[in-house]
Amino acid sequence: MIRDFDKLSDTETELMLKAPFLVCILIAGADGNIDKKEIKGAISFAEKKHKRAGVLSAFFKELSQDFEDKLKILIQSYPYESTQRSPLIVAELSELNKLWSKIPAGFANEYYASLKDIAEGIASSSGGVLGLKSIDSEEAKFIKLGMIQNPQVS
Amino acid sequence: MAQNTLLGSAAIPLRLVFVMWLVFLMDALYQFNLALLGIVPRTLGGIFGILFAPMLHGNFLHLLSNTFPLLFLGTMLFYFYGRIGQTVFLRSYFWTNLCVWLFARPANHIGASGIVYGLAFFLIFFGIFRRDFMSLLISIITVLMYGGVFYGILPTDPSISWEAHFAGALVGFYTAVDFRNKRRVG
Repeated sequence: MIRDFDKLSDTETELMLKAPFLVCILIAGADGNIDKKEIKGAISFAEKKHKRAGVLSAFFKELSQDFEDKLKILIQSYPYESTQRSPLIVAELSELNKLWSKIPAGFANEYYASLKDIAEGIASSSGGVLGLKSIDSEEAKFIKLGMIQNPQVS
Repeated sequence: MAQNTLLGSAAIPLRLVFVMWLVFLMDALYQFNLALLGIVPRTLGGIFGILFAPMLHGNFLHLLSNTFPLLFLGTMLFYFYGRIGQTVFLRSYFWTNLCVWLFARPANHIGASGIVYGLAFFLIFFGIFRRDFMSLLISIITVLMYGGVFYGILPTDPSISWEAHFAGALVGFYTAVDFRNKRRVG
């Protein structure tokens, strides 16, 4: 159990735990197919985050358990076609905005930053020539995660 | 008539800007994640942000965009209104941040823009209320350079703390009203 999720309901906690996977599916599948290279990139990225993240360490510990299996199960629960799948995921991710006020600001900031990192990490983990220009236009549309508001305002 | 030197008048704004840059560089170099010390409204931990939030900036552009107006407006304030400058500056700092802590939406509010808005609104409205030549000139210069502050108090972008801008504007306006009849301000 993650202490920072004390004020969240079960559904909200599930969304928090699911969101990194949703980001993976959204970005990796934006071009129509979710390839294993992209998934692997996401997995290794999450593992690296888990090692170095301070406030997120408990979260990433939970996230990294059976990461690949969880991801595969989640992929199967969404429509195969990205045109149908993406709007559903975008709607789900936008629900995170309502949760920022229920979790500690420090956690919210780190969590949001890590989602952005994951999005960028996945998008640049496949395609292109020698890793150059590996973010295609479909992926670029979602990388900024515009559906999620930054919990830090300035 | 102003009797302060420009450099002397810039001392307080320069100190704040120095701390802002130092904090930003330290955070970038050592990954302290100091942004967590921002104002989180109506939380006990977030109350420290009333002191620390203006020293914290999310990125280089944010830091830069607050540096120049703070130096310019702050120096104008202390140069032309030396006798009340410190009070105006402290109100823009602490009253603004206190308002953010009390009334803003739940989020982590960082940055010195609330102070910038406080100073800008004070300089604009003080001239309007006093109507002497120098105050009006300062007011006009401030409007010409930072007239965009009137737009900035509106909730246009969710990533911007318009609440800090609005609070700064209110504090600046109120302070201008408060000091409008003070005889010696320079």
